[in-house]
Amino acid sequence: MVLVYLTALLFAQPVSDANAATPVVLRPVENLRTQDTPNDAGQSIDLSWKLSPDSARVKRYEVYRAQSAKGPFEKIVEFLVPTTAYTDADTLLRNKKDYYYRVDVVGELESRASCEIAGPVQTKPEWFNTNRIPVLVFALVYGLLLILYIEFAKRDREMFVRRIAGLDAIDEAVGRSTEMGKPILFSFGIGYLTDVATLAALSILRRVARRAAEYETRILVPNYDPIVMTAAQETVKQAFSEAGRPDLYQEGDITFLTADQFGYAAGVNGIMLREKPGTVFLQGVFYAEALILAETAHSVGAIQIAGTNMATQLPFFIAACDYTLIGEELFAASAYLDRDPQLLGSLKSEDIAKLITVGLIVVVSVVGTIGAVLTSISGESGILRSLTEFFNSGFERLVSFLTTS
Amino acid sequence: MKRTLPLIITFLAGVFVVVTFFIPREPFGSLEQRMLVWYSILGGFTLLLGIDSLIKHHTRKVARREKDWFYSLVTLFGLFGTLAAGIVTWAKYGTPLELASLNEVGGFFWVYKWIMVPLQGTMFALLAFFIASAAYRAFRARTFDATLLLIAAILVMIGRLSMGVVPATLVLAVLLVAAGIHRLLIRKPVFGAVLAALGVGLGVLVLAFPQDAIRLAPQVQEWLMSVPQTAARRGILIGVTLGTIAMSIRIILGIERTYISST
Repeated sequence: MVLVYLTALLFAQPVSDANAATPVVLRPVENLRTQDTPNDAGQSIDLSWKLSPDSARVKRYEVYRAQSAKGPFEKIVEFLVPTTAYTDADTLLRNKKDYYYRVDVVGELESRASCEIAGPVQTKPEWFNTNRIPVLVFALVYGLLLILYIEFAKRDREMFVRRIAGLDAIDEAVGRSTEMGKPILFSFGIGYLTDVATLAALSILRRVARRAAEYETRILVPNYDPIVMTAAQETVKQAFSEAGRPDLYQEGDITFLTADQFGYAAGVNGIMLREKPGTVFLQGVFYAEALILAETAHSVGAIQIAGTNMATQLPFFIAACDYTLIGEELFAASAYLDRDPQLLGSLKSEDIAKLITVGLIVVVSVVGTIGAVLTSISGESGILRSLTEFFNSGFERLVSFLTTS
Repeated sequence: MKRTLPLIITFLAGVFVVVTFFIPREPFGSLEQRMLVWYSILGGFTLLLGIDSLIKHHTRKVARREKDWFYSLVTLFGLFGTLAAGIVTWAKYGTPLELASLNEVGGFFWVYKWIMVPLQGTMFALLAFFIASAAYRAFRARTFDATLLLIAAILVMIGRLSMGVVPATLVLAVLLVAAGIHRLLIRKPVFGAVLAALGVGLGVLVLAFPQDAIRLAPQVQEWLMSVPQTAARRGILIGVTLGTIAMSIRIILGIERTYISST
């Protein structure tokens, strides 16, 4: 019995080895397509293919490229998971040259199968990015609105702008500092001059500095960025001149502190604790230091007027400060304070653009909801089916338009 | 001319960048990025302006023995001390950014690791205390809005608890009842009655259906965060985005000139 078993084992072993040594025959990927990547600067080719019918046994996919159909093909990438697309953006690719591609599937024991060679395909740079048409449409509509409302504002100087408490409080806050005999502290946060919020804050600084000059109150502006410091010095200097008190301007009050976030927070806190300002303006770009500054200002008994476009820091300012300019209110500061017709017109056009955006969001929501309801009740064919497709495709296009804009 | 030239440069640069936004072809496609690189390089040089301002300001304070001049001395010591550490490390290793200086007292990275990082960490840690004090002031249920904020905040905190949902909700219910009684005492009967009723209702519901409370708490938290919170945030973001576009157009067209001095 044992002899029979051993004999069987002896014969069985080579058969098993023979099976393992035979490479598994795989079928290649199908329908390999290549095309120049649309709307780019060239030097990029999109590849797509259908998985091999034997994808369960495929260990990896290898993509090859050549400059001739005959080769030599060079492996450019391999994937260890089932993949059906790849964008070849190799810096070695040259525009207006032919390229050929092949995708190999590799299985056990390095058995492999190559698909048909795809190509030739050339890369070419585009003159216009069609993906950005919605942005262009939006910009043109907005630009038109802007021009229209600036013209309206020029004719009607009494254009209504809702009251913004934070901006109304500027004069009162400066007056409070004056009465208390304390300085005013103005911080731009850790923004740069390339940030729109910093530019908007400069217009507030100008107003604050003018009032400070009129009331002969000292204004301190510690800075995080040297370029912002230079702009702040110029703004304050001009405001003091406009107020007829250029003699009060002190460059040493508008200084550079440090370009380190928490170093800046520590520096401003130190100034607050030593100088005990009566009013603190926190206007511009703020991150984690927002609450540190606001709470320190509160602890020294200063009235605080904050303003930022950073949505994540707004709750902190609202919780800790007396007045907060929420996002767009900061950008409206110059128009609101100067009452210049051109600025007021641009403010109005902003409101109309907002109204259009809200309208589009409502339309998208209604179309999306109708599409979803119809999908749940429509059959395979008929008018309901057509309507469903109409609404669903409309919804997708609208969402794509809005998100691109 | 002093004012006109910057406005012309701003207009041309602005329009050029806007136009190139739609042209992917080189050299236009990467122009915006290249301009940012130029800005960074220029920004590096302007740091000299900052250092100049810093040294002038603090040396004057020290020289004149102005109020708190000692802090200025510490600042100058920090500035020149770090510079010296960098020069010493540079002389020794050929670069100030040598990692081996981490373990050498007075090395550039030693200064960074043992002075800069702890100081930054200390400032950041202060945030926790400031959050607590700001939250205390913001969440005092003095007005209807503040009360809503308080309730929403507590519900979110309860929803994120891994255990103890029932006792925490009971604490909230007791707080609401206490706030309601307080309002009743200061002659705000309607507000007080609503708060007290909310508290009693919540307490009774949690005691009657504790398992449901445990199941529902995360869902309520999720709903608060994904519906009202997200809606408000998106509203602000849309306003900020439109405001940014409007401000940018105003700057490009020269309507907004507050950033340019005429002096």
